[in-house]
Amino acid sequence: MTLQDIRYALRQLRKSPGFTLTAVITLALGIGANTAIFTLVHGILLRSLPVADPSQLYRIGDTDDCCVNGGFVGQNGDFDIFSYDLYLHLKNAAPEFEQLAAVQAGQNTFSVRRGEALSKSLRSEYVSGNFFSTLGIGPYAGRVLGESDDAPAAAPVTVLSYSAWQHEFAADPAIVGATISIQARPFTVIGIAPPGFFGDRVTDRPPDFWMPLSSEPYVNGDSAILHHADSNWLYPIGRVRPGTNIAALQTRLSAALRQWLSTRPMYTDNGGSAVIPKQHVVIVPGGGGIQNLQQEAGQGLKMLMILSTVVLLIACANIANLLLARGTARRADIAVRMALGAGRRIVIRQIITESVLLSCIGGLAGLAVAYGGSRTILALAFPDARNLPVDASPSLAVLGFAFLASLVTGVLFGIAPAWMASHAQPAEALRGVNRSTRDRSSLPQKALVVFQAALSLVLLAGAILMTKSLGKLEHQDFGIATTNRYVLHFDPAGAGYTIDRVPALYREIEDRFSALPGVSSVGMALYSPLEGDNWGECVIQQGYPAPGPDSKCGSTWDRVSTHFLDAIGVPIVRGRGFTEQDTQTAPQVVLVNETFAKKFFPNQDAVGKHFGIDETKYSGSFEIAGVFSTLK
Amino acid sequence: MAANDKLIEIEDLTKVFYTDEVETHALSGIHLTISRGEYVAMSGPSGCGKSTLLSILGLLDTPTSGRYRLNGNPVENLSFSDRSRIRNQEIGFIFQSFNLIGDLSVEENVELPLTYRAGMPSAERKKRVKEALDRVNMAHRMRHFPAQLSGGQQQRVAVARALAGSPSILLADEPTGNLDSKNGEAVMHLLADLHREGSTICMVTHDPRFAKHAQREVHLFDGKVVSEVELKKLTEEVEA
Ligand SMILES: Nc1ncnc2c1ncn2[C@@H]1O[C@H](COP(=O)(O)OP(=O)(O)OP(=O)(O)O)[C@@H](O)[C@H]1O
Ligand SMILES: [Mg+2]
Repeated sequence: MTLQDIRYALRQLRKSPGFTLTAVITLALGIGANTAIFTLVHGILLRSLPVADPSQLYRIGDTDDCCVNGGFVGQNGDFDIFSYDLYLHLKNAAPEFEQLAAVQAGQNTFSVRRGEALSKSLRSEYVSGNFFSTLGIGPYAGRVLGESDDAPAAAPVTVLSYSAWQHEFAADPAIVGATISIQARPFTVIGIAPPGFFGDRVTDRPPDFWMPLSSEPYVNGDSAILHHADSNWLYPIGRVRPGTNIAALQTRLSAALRQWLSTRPMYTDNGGSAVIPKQHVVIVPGGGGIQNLQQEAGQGLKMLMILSTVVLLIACANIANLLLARGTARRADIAVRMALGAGRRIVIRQIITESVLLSCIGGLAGLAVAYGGSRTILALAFPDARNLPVDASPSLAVLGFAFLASLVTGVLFGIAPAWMASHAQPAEALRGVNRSTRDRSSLPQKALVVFQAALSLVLLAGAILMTKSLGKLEHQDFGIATTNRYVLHFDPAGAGYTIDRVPALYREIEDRFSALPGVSSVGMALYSPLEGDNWGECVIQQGYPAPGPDSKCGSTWDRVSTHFLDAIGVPIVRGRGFTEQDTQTAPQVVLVNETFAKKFFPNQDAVGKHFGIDETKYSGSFEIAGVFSTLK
Repeated sequence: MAANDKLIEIEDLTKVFYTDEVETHALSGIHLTISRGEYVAMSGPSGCGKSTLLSILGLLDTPTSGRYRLNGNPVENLSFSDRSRIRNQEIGFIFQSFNLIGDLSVEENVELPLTYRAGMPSAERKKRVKEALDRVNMAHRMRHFPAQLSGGQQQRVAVARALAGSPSILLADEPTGNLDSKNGEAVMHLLADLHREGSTICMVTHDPRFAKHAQREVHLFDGKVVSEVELKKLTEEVEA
């Protein structure tokens, strides 16, 4: 590529501003869309945690089984979530880990207040005492958590994230050493994490503060799971010693897992021993942190990547066609150049210089498109995001990608014109181009139009499919009425209510809300429908044999108030609904949906039947009072 | 010695164009020799094959059959890239419609064939461009673009472009065809001067007045050489 080629190319572009503008806009959109997607791929999928030596980090477990699980987890025996006891067992079995931390799989939203100020709902995460040292993160102010903070009798402490300190505590330096209340329990703020540190995973709501695992019983009281060896709720992530053979470590940890499982009745009972041999762990690189969001977003990003590539290809075909259309005028020039001794290589080089220059200008404009585009996609994908740790501003990698994309694009749409030009006849310089008998450009031009049309069809089909599935989601029938219904979240524990005071509180809330003008029905539930969260339990019918480990005995459950089903517009199809008589002291009754009735009591009336959870001896616990129509 | 003397030797050369199943015999059995330092004019009625012959002489096109030696080397079966290289080094073209590249300045136009020559340093190119433009009295218009020049000036720049590479032969196809008689005369005098300085020239022309500048006039008719006339005496008269 010579300076003269570039000068000449620039003059060509200046000479036909209409064409240049059209091409630059087309390219800006095409390259911009691809760069926007790459920004997200780079910012989310390829993101490393902002910690020391992320490449040394490994996670035990490779999938997402958030948030609390009992019994065998994962598919095909792939264990990815662990109890505290099991985590300690694996930690002892793996000296290859210089440090192995454990982090809470699901995070909580807790009520936090300082002094008499209004309480705030902030994100929290329980982490092991060695969490910060494992990641190599020191404090911005004060100190970070240490092993001693995670000891059973340690004083309750917490570390704030930098952004929570900035936004929730007005960057007050006096917060370090101060006492704040978390779920109505006093905690001492011992330090602030450095700016930019967002924890162990990319999520749309990173933790505002971290608490040691040992404080979980302090917060959760009777329902604490720290010392419940069969409750799996932790992800282990650690730093391996250099030179560690990961495959061998994985094999050994899998053996350690099986050995531990075989000591637990929860896993060995009811034929569970038979499936223990296939239980195992997968060790994956942890430099990017816990990949839950990545695994979720990956599919969508891949789809977007394909679509944007197709868009770019269409843009290429389009511009190649525009270039070919100008071809006749250019051909006279090319013939003269050839007559003066330009070989085919030189001619091709010149044409490619022009197209690459054009695409680089388009790519430059595309950076603006990419910047806006990636922000828009993020805003659409994570509408509730707070402090989303994904940077949409153009980094060096993004600039590099845009440049590379421009280069490839330029070469791509330059190929056809360059091929055409390289087959010009030098003799035309003498004869004049008009003498030429056959119009050579017609064939490639037609081929390009066909190519373009085919790609557009693919794009159209993809867009229709996507719109359809989105439309389906939007208009999906979840079996509940949503019009004029509003969901309100509240957390009595966060406000310091103890369990004995809660029933009265609920009754009062229900009464007061019902009395509000315009409110026609009030129902309460542990989880609202469509929240994407609930508890699951293994159901054991009375008079049936105990289910084996592979049996599909799981069912989700929700604890609701008397009028809850009314409030969400779900009808009872058989039996009765809850009444005021179903109190704590009355026989325990439940309502099940039609799917449950059909699954556990096929070809019979489920009303009046009994079932229990976990163990056969409890199978008489609940009586089915009614069946409601299935909701999701 | 003989090979050194004869720049171009053509024997029994034919060119047939095939278009839409019609055969056009543009050249049928041409014999022609051009010696180093010679000034040859080619004339004949329209369509007799003058431009076709010139394009084969200049390696712009290949003959259908026959032999062509340039500088003693056979060139009728060379590859495209070899022909490009030889064209660049040995041939200087002057076209009827000037064929300057509109988006390049005068200087860049003259430099263009030199940029295709592998390994010529930029300083050497600039020096040659300056010399060639000086030779045709166009150095003062170096930064101009072709559209800003008169036809005569454009053709002088085209001559400079042909000269810059110091070719073995200048090939001109009706170089005055698009010029008025005054400008035409000027270009003819320029060519005559170049010939006197040692250039070998082969020029196609309709105009008998201009043909007189040459040493020899080759008359073509229907793809054949029908007569060759030595005009040395006439040329000497012009010089005198
Ligand atoms: N590319 C081509 N395809 C088909 N026929 C051609 C082609 N080039 C030239 N011819 C034919 O070859 C013959 C000679 O053409 P040429 O251009 O050499 O004539 P000429 O002597 O230069 O004429 P003029 O004085 O009008 O320029 C003509 O009959 C012309 O139609
Ligand atoms: Mg002609």
